[in-house]
Amino acid sequence: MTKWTFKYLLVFFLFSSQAFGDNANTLIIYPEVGKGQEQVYSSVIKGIENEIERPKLLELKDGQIDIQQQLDEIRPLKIIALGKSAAEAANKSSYRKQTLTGLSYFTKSEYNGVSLIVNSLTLAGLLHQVAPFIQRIFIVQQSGHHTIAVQPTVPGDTPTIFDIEGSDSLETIRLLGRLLEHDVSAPTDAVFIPANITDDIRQEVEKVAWNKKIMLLSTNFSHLETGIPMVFYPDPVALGGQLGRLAGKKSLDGFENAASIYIGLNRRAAQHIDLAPPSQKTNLFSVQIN
Amino acid sequence: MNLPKQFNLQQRFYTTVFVGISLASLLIIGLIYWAISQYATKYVSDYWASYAKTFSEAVKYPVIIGSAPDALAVSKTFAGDKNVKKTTVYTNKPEVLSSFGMSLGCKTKPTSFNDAFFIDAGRDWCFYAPIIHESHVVGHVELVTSKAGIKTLLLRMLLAIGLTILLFSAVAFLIVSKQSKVFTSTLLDMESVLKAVSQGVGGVRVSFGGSDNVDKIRDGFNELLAEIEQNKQLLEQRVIDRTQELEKALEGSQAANVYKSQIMMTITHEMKTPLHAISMFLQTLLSLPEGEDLNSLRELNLTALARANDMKENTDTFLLKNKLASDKYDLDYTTVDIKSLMQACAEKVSVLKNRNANRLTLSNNPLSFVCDIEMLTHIVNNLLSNACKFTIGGDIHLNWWLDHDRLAIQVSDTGRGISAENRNRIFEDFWQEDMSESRKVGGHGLGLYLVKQFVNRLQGEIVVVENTDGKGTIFTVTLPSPSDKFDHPQ
Repeated sequence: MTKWTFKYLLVFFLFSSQAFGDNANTLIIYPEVGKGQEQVYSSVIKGIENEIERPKLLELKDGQIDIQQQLDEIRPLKIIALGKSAAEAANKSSYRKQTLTGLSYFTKSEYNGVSLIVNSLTLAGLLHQVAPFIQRIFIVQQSGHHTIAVQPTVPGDTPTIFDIEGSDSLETIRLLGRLLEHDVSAPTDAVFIPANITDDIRQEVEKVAWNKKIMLLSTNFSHLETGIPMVFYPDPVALGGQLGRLAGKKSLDGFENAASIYIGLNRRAAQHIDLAPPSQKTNLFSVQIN
Repeated sequence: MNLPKQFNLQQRFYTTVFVGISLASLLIIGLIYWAISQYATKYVSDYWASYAKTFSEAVKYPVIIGSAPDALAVSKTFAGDKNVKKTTVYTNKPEVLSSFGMSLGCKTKPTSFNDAFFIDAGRDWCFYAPIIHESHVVGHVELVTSKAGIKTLLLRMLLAIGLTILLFSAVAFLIVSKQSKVFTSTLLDMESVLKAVSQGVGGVRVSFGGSDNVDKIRDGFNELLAEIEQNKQLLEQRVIDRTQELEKALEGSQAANVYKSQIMMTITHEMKTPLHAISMFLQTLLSLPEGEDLNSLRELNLTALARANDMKENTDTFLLKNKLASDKYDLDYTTVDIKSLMQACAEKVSVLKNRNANRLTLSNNPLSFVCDIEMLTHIVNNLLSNACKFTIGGDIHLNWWLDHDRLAIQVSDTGRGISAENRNRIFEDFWQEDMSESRKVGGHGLGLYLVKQFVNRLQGEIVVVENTDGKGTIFTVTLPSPSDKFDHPQ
C-alpha cells in the first residue's frame, strides 16, 4: 500500500463516518400536535430511527417560527423537519442546506426531502390492482396544492390518467363539478378529488358521485370517513425510512415522493359503487372501515 | 274616580278594586305581549336569518359550478316551509341563477354585500345572505318569508295570556272581595248604625267582629255611641230644664208686668190721693161764701197743705229710692241723741196713730250713738208708720238699747201681722200684701224697702218675727257702731 493509497483510505473512512452519521448530530424537528396526529409523527420518527440511531428531537411550540437560537445551541449537522410549520421554520434558518423536509406537500423546487406528493403512476398501479375495471383516472387538483405528481401516461396504458388543474379553488370546484356532471361515467371512471377540498363542497361532490355511482378517490386520509370509497396515503414508517436514508446520504439535496402507499377502504361506499377488491389484494388495504 | 252617589261603600270598594285589577291586568297583558312579541320577533327573524345562511351554504356548490337546475332544486327545498314565499339564488354578477315562489314585497335588490341582513317589508321579511367560499363572495340568496305565522302565533299567545290574566284577575277579584268583606261589612254596619242614630233611634249597636283589633274597634264604637246617647239625653234634659226656666221667666216676666202695672197703679193712686184732696180743699175754698170765717179758711188751707206735704213726702221717698239705687247716697255720721230722735219720730206718727186709735209707748232709755241721723230717722219713722198703719186700736212699742256696742231698735205692734210666706218679700220695693185698688190701707210699698236699704248701708241687720202672743209683728234693727270714725260715747 503506497503512502497515497493510505491517505485516500483515511479520507474515505473519515467521510464514511460522516456519511453514515454522527447520529448525535441529526435533529428531528416536529410540531406540537394533538393525539390524532401524534401517531403519524411517531410512526415517521420510528421509520427515521430505523435508519439513524439516536437522533435528537426538538418539538416546536404551537406558533413557534424562529428556531435559530435553539439550532445554534444544538448545532446539528442534519435536520429532518416534519410537517409544514417545522419545515418552514427550519428552512427559514441558516440551517436550510442541512435540512430535509418530510410529512408535507412540496415540490423539488421548494425543499429537499420526501414529499407527501404521490406519483400518479404509483397510484394508477395500485388502483389497477384493486379495481381493474377502471379505465380512466381523472386527477383534479388546484394549482399550487398538488398532492399527486401527475406523470404522463403512455397511450395504451390502463388506466389512462387525466390531469385537470384549476387555477384557484373556485375554478377547481367548477372543473370538478362539470367533470362529475358531464364527463365521467360509472363504473370505468375514477376521480381523484382535491386533497384540500372544503368539507361542504366535498359533501356536495360526494352526493353527486353517490347518485351517479362514480368512484371518488382522495389522497387525504380524513376523507375516508366521509364517504370516499378509497384513499391513498403514504406509509408513515416507510416515509420515515425514506427520510432516514436520504439523511444518511452525503449530500442532503435529494428529493423523493412518498414511495410506499397505503390504501384505505370505506366498505359501505365501495359496496355502493360495486367495488369488490380481489381477495388476494386485501393485503394492500391498511385500513378498512364500514 | 267619580262614582254614582247611590253606590254604597261596598259597591264603591268593589268598583275601585275591579277597575284597579282590570287596569293592572291590561298593563300586565300589554307588557307581557310586548316582551313576548319582541322576543318572538327577534327569535323568528334570527331563525330565518340562520335559515337564509343555511340556504346560502347549501346552494354554494350549484352557484360555484353554475348549475341552475341544482340551484333550483335547493331553492325548492328551502321554499318547502309554508312561511317561505320565495327563494332566489343570485350569482356574484348579480344574476338570478334560480328562483322559486312569488315575491310580493322585496323591492330592494342588493348588488353586493359581505354580511347577511334583512329588510322588513311590511307583511314579509326579506333575508339576504352572501354565498361565501373561502372568503370569496360567489353570490347571494334572497329568502322572502311571511310574517303571518308569527302574527298568528302572537295573536294566539295574546289570547292565551289575556285569558290567563283575566282568569287570574277574576280569581284575585273574588279573593279580594271576599277578604274585603271583613272591612266593608264593618264599615257598612257602622254606616247603618250611624244612620239609625242620626234618625234618632236609640240603643242600636254595631255587631261586627273578627280579630282582636276589629273587636276593639267594635267595642270602642259602641262605647262612643253610648256616650253620645248619654250626652244627648243630658242635652235634652238641659233643654227641657232651660225651657222650663224660660217658661218660668216668661211667666215671671208676665207677672212682673202685672206687678209693674199694680205698682204704677199704686203709685198713681198714692200721688193722686193727696192731689185729689188738695183739689177738693181748693174747690171748697172757692165755693166758700164771701165773708167766711178766717179760721175755717185756715183750717182748709192747713189741710190742703198737709196733703201737699204728703205728696212731697211721697216724691221725696221716690227720689230717695232712686238715690239709693244709683248709690249716690253718702253717709254722714254724727252723734245722735237716740231718745230725742225716738220721741220726734213718735210725734211725727201721732196723727196716724190717733187715726187708728193705737197706743204708742216708748222706752225711757237715754242713749247716744254715732250714726247717720237722717237714715236712722227714716228707719224709725217707717217702722212706726207701718206699725200705726196696720194696727187698729192696738199697742205699739218702741224700744232701743245697746247690745255689745250695737244699737238695737225694736218696734212691736199688735196689728194683723205678716204671714210667714210674705216675710221674705216685705222688703222688696213696691211690694204690699194687698196691692188691689180696693185695699183698705194706702201706701206706695217703699217704706220697708228703704228701711232694709238703710240698714244695709249702715251694715246692720233687721229681723222680723211674729209677736209672742200671736198677734202683730216685731221688727228688730241692730246697727253696728262705726268705731273707726268716732269713739263710742258711754
